[in-house]
Amino acid sequence: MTSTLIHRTARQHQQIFFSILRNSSSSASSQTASRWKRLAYQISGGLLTAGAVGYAWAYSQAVHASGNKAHLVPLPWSFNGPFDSLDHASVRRGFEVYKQVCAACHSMKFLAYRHLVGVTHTEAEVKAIAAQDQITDGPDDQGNMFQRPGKLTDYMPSPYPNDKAAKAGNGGALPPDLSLITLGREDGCNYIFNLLTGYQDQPAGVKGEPGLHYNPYFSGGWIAMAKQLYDDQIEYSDGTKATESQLAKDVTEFLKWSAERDHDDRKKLAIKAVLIFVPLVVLSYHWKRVKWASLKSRKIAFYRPKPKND
Amino acid sequence: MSLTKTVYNLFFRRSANIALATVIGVFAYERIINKSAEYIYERRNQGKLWKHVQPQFKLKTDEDEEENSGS
Repeated sequence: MTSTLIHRTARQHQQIFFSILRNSSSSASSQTASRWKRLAYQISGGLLTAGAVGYAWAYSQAVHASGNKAHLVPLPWSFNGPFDSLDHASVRRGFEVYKQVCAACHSMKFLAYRHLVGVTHTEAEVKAIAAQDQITDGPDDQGNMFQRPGKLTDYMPSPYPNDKAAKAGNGGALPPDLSLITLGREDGCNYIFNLLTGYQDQPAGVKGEPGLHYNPYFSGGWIAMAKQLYDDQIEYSDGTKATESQLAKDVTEFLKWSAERDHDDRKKLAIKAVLIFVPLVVLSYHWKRVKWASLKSRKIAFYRPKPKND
Repeated sequence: MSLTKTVYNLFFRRSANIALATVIGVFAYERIINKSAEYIYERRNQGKLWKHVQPQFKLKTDEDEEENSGS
């Protein structure tokens, strides 16, 4: 029997498979037997790997530290999709919320005024905004630090000179820097929004903590920050109605932008990557198949040599 | 059939022609990709990007400048 495997039907394959299962030694040629054995090993190996991975995943879920806080409500952010950008009007409003509500306690030391140019404000607007803030500047000739109006190149001023002053001013609790907060908290944007809008009376039977406020979305439920956002707390410069959820949504988008300033460029690049690589992969695959065609379509034939009569 | 023959003789017969075709092709491909990506991105994110948002604030600043120029 010639040992080619090309012109067998599925039925013949099945028959060979069962004959190999029945006789562990090869009744077909040893090449067929080893081929089916190799296939059996591959399938069982794949199933084992999938099973092991699934087992590991299932057990890793138990380590999730969500036992002491409420599950977040996932929100339909404008930037949720793989190609969706931030809403820059919302980021602009969020900056206003930060400046008027949050900057009293929270620093943003990795954000400079110049970062706002071309993203949320024009250069002239940012210059005017910076000039309204006082920045502590380096020692003068007498060795004293002094205050001066801000410039584009300055970073956002911190409300406190150092962490200890911040803790002293907030009952022992340090208001975290907000520059990267959406990256520094799990499910950052949903967490920030839920937290800001999640203040409520503690459930019946829960003992109150002195100096802390109840917020089910905070780990443990008791957070040092009081509720900060209320309806019509500030006036937006573009006239949007400043409801509590609007304030929270805008400040969260601003914080998302601050943490990921390359977000929009990154998502545009994703489109480019898809446009470049999908045709290239198709072409590469076609070229590979063209070059391999001669090898894949070769026939190997074995002709039993005629016995010599000595 | 003669089209492929022409293309082959013109672009793929000599390796120097292949190189030239590659360089020009890459330049054109990149331009097309960039323009397409920008178009798709801006259509998908209509109204959200700064270039769409800025015009509504420009009018306001022009009004402010006119007011301030009087004082």
